[in-house]
Amino acid sequence: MLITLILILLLFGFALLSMAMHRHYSQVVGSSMHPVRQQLWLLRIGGTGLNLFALFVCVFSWGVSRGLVYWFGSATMVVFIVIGVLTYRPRWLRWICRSVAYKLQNSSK
Amino acid sequence: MSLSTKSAQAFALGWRVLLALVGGFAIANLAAIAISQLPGDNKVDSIVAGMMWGFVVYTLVVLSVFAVRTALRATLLVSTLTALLYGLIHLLSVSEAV
Amino acid sequence: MKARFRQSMGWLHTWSGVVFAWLLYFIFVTGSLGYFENEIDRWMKPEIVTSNGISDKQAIDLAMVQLGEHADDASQWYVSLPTSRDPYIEISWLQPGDPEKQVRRQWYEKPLEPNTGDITSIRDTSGGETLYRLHYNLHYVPPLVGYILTSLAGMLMLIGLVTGVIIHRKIFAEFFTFRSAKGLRSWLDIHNVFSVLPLPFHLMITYSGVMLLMGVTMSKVIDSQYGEGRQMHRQFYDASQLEEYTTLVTEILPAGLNVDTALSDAKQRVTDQAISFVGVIDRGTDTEHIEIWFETSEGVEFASLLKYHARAERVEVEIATGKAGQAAAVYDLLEHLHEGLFADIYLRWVYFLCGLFGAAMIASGMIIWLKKQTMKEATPPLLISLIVRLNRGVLVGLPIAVGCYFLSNRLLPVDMSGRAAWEMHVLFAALVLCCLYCLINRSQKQWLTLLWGAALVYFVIPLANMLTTHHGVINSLLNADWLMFGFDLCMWLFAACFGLAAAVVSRQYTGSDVAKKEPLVC
Repeated sequence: MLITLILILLLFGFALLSMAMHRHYSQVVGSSMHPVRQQLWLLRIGGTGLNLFALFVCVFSWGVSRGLVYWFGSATMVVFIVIGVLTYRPRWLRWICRSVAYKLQNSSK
Repeated sequence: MSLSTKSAQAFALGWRVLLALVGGFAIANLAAIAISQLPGDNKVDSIVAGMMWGFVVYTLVVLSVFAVRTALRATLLVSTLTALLYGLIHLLSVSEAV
Repeated sequence: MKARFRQSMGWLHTWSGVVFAWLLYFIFVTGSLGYFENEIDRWMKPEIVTSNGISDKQAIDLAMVQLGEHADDASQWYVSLPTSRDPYIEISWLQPGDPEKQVRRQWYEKPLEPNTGDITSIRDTSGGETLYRLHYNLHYVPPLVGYILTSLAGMLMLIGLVTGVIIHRKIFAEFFTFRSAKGLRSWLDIHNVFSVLPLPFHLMITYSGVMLLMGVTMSKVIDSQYGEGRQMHRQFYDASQLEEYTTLVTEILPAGLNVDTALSDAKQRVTDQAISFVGVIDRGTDTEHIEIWFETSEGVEFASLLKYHARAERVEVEIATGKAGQAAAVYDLLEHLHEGLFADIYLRWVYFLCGLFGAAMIASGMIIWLKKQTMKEATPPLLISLIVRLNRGVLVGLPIAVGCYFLSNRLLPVDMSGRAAWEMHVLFAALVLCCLYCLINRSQKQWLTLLWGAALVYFVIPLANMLTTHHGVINSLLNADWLMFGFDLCMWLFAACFGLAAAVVSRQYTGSDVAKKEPLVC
């Protein structure tokens, strides 16, 4: 159960981080779209935050040494999934870009 | 002419490989011995620490042997390190005896 | 300066990888299988009767009867209680050597039948243990040669990893990057993905691997600083592994110390963990004591062991609190990280997959190097084309060989003499045959043949199991024997993976013109 939570946290964390990179953002959204600066920071902070939270959960439930092993192991598995999605099903990540853009629109109003 | 430079290059490369493998191993062992002789209460543990650092030293020596510009510099590097470590071990064993 | 530095590091990366690539591939594959040593062992000994729901006390009583009968002169007794990974009772003892009767000093391990308490006779098999030991003793060579070769390979791997990090310019920018169907570019991406993502694992496993053999490879340090000779080295090892203990006095009277009283005392002290082993050590001497081991999922540093000694007034219990030395503690941590014995089922799979990623990293590196060599000229030199062929034989041949090893366990006659040794011979014979096939056969479709062959072998394993034992897939499912069922299921999963790989590769022979220009794999 706990593992599922950690995997989901990391999955979203690394998906957000990958969207904070121009190459993958345009891969998902369209040929030459670039995220604007605020979007970048939103994605970066969100992604890092989720990953750190997963790390916190790991260390909290298994102690430092075992927690780190769980975190690194799970992160490795999760990034493979993110890469697979980016390569073969990039559209699955579209909602991330949309919701970030939506956030910015709302806050600028 | 070109043939001789080619064989000279091959010789220099082979020499470096030898330096990295054999020289690196010697330096790793000497470093391990030096570390195990550092003053401390637990001799056995210092030996374990020395051997564990040995592999790090080995890696670094191999990288440096190939990173420096010429085979001559690589030779100088390995021999200097060997000499320094010998000196250090000698010093440490003298101070241990006192 | 910087470009030249990168170039020389690139050269070092290539050659430190290529020279021992096949050996490293072998080490990574067999080592990864080691993470499922117990499960493989159970599958290879189908006669074992599992004992669900037997109490620790009952199990120990049965074991003590058998140990008393078969191993009265042994100095050490162990009873392995049923756990989730090994759901059966096993007794083991150290048989003292007797030169007069030509009895060798060796360990015996026998599973028990839980209903009758008798020793179950099992087929003679190499089991999971010999398979996992392959990754550092290389089986046919003397142990010392095996240790030195694997250490050398490990050192080159370590250098390969460090230089790889140095020459990989865009380690973060290309963290998520895989560009498919772009020839060499795609292979480089694959190589990066398999190297960078599990990099913490690769570094840990390689460094701890060479470290675990340092007593052999760096023996000169022990010679000069501690003492020479086998006995001194043994003594050094014991001294370096010294544990620190806290000692507590128990309620038990010295005369009342036996396995039962120790067990019930241990259960009161540690309530949240199951007991995995009970040992009677140094039997019949002054230092005789009883060890109680717990199932060790409490931490990477596993020290969950209680030792009961009979002293003058009362029995005292020693609880290990960690290694005496700092370096020894780090060594201990790395050793346990390497072996992954603390891992639960999830982490065990992560370990296994990371190990296979390591194998994939080496395989993809080798393919990149060979692709570059063959792309240089229209007709590559004989040596390169030989390596290309052998490379196919080793990369796919090794999984086939492991599959044949499992098959041989089911198909070799049960009463065959030297059966265990022959299982290993089958493994290596299959590997050699795959290599020979690639050398002799002139067909361009070697990859395809080998991959389909691997798929077939792994598909057949559960069938052979079903036909020769009572532990076929259906029976295991009905009996909820998840270890047997899981093993068979994994075999079919591997078969599916090889089939998928074969389907992908076959596109290079039938597919579009683009694929024809440059073959997918070389």
